[in-house]
Amino acid sequence: MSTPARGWQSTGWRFLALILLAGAQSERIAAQETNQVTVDNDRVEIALVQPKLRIRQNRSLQNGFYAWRIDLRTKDGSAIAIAADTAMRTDNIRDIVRGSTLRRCPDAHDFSSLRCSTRLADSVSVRNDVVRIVLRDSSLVRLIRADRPPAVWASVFEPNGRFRVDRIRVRFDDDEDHVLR
Amino acid sequence: MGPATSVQVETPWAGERWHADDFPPTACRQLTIRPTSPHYRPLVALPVRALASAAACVWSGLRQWWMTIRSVPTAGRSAIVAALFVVLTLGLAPPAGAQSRKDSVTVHARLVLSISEFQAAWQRAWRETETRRFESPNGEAQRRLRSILVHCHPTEADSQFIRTFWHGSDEIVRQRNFQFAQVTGRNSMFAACPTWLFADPNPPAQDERFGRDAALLEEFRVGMHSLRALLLTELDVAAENFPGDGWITGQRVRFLFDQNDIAGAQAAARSCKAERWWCAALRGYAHARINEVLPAEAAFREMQQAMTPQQRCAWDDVRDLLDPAERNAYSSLSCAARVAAVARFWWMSDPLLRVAGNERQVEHNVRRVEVALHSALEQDERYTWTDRFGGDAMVSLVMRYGWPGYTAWGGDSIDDDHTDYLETRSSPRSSPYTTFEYSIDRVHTLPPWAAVSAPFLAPESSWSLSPDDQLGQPYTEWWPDEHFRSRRRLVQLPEGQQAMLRRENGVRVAATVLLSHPLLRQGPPLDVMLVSSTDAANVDTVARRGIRAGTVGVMQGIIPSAPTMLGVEAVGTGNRAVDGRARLGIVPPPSLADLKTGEIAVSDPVLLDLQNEAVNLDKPSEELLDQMLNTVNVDRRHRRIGVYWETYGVSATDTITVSVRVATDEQLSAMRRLGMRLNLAGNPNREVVQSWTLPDPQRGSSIIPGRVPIGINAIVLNLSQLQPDTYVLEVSIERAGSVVTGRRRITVDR
Repeated sequence: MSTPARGWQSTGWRFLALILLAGAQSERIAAQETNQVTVDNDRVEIALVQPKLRIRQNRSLQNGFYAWRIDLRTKDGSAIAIAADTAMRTDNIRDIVRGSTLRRCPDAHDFSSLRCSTRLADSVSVRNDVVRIVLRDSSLVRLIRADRPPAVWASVFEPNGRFRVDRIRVRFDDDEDHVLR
Repeated sequence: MGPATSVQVETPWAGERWHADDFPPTACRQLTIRPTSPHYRPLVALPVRALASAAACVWSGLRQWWMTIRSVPTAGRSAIVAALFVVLTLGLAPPAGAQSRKDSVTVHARLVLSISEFQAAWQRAWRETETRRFESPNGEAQRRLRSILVHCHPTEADSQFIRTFWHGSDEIVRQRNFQFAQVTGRNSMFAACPTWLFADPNPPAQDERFGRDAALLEEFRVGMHSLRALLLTELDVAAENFPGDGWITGQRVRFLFDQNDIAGAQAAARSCKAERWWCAALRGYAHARINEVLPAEAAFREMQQAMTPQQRCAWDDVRDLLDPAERNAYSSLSCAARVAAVARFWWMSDPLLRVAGNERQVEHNVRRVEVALHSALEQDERYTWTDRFGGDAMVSLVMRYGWPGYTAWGGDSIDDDHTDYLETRSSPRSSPYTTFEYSIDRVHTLPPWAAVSAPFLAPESSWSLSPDDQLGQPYTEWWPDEHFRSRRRLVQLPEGQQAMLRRENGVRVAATVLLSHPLLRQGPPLDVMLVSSTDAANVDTVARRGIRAGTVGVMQGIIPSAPTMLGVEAVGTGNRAVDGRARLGIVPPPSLADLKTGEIAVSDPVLLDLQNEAVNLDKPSEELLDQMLNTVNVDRRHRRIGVYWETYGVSATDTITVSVRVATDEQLSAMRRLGMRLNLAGNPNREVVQSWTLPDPQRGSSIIPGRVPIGINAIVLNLSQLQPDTYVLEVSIERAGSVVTGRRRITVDR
């Protein structure tokens, strides 16, 4: 004699779980498709979705430098960069990020990320092909909050000379449309 | 028609640049640990794999050596072992070349990132610039108008020019119609839609041909100048360490020009120590950028001499410049056959034969160098140069039209829209997308490829420099297969009348010059030259004189009796930087030296303008040629014309019959002939014939005595009864049953 399924084992619950899972997944996908810069009280979080450049469409790998650069459009022209420490030949974003350093480019004249020598201790991680930078450097966060740039420029560079430049709107925690996460 | 084709030109760094695919250059390569390995687990596997790889490498090397040594005789083996001992004892340093090559790869990799980052900074400034341009009051309308050019969809064949009527809100723009071409790629759906600069953006952009930063607003230029200076410092250091590196030298030259450091760019090109052909190309480019056509031409000549036949074949490829319908004819030629044909093509494309140096050919080489410099990285400030991203369309665009004067950007949303279009058609994103706009004062000096095989039969209509309206403004509804901007404005002179009259040791050639173009109607006289040329190396001045602006002149002189290209070339003097030209191929008749004793001949008839009352036909002489009608199209004002011809070998006492006949020569269809037989249709061919016998004291003629006497004759012809049509004017003479005829095709206009 079979007993009717109860709790999460019932069809209704399974269906609901499926819906929730699909919803969460689609939200995650949606989140991945958009670059984001969010400025909170004590930190700046930057999510960079990998563009479909050579990284994803590679035929023959080249030895060279990968870099991400975020021009913060503050008054002093500050930028941060994730730049590889050495030339590498890979198409794995995790490997690239692992072999790279987060640096601060305090001057607009540090146009080359390799010249940006001020290393930041903040974290960079890769999840679902999204590079996430969490800046907790108080001076940098203060600077951004003070200058309130409406948008930043994010650029990604590949060893073959391809690059892509995107303009990303900055969301401040005190913006009217800011959504608390 | 198939998509556009582009030519892959081998650059000095092709195949080797910073790819580093051949590192390390030993047998151990396959054992090298690469992070790309699917089994790569860096933290755990790295030490283990490194040790294993090193051991395997050493074992493989020793085994290889042992096999080699075992294969040689004992004496040789001893020598090898001894040599090995010495080498190991003294210590064998790695080959210097290998080390420097490895360094070179690292330096290249760093430079690629630096250049890319600079280009990204430039792109940011340019996008800000373009965003602000279209924030002006009529900016949105301007942006909308240009959107069709940004959204360039290759739905039409490459040969198809598209005529577009713009329906914008701007009155001036709306009244102007534009034509543009689609330049498509082979490997993507990316296409470029070049057109004329049809409305100045606000604030106006400067012509980018005169400097890269001209595309930026003034406020961004200083910043870009500083950044580029830093980039140039890096390039300078790299050039010092690797003086023979053509890629580095090329990028230095490129960015020095972008920096407007002309002297620096020229010095960099002069000090180039890379491959000889590439250095010569850079020198030519550097000269051409400051309008030094002759030194540029010399440098490009040296470049061609230093190239391998394959390199030269690719570099000189002119396929992109031809009408798509003619490209197959070009492609069917072998590289060897192309050399002569392309040389003729450029000779025929020379804007002015009288001016030393071929500005158009130099421009072609400049465009090739420009493409090589911009495609040295996959991407430049705005455009992608690899085929998969539509780079072949970009190459084609630059080769056909040069670098655009202005490129408008549609903005992020238009970029996203167009990327969607491309991606749904399996083509990758290639943003930012722009218009490609060119100043309208450009000319198309190239002849059709068909004319290249028979240059001396090319009529004046083979060249269409640029059609202008009555104000001297080029038509925007015209869009050629290629064009370029000459240093001075060049306009087409109207098709005139040419006469070729036999002389003892050559041919007297006479050509009319009508300076009626709106830009030539007023001002100081023009310096006009009648030139004859059989190839690029042989250009002779037949006649030269000043002709008043807005008037007609006749140029005369003696040329050899051989096929030649005849050109009337008027150069503006004083402040007038406008030149005019007309050109055609001619096959002159033989000289009188070839006329056998007792043989007679007649020249083709020449039309004379009788509006000048001083013209006297009673006592005809060679001076009548100064009254040549400036056209063979007889309009209502010229229904009464003079006809001049010469007889050869007819003395004053010879009795000859002269006939002058004007007739249409329309080919009658079979139905028409049947209708005429049945009296149902009339003969559309009309003719007027006059005949008389000489000598006749009532008819004026004169004789120039000589071994072969030259008879000069002229009559008045009234064509007022003729219907507008095309006719053949024939002059025939008959002596003792021998008839000779001279002909000229004329048109009677309404």
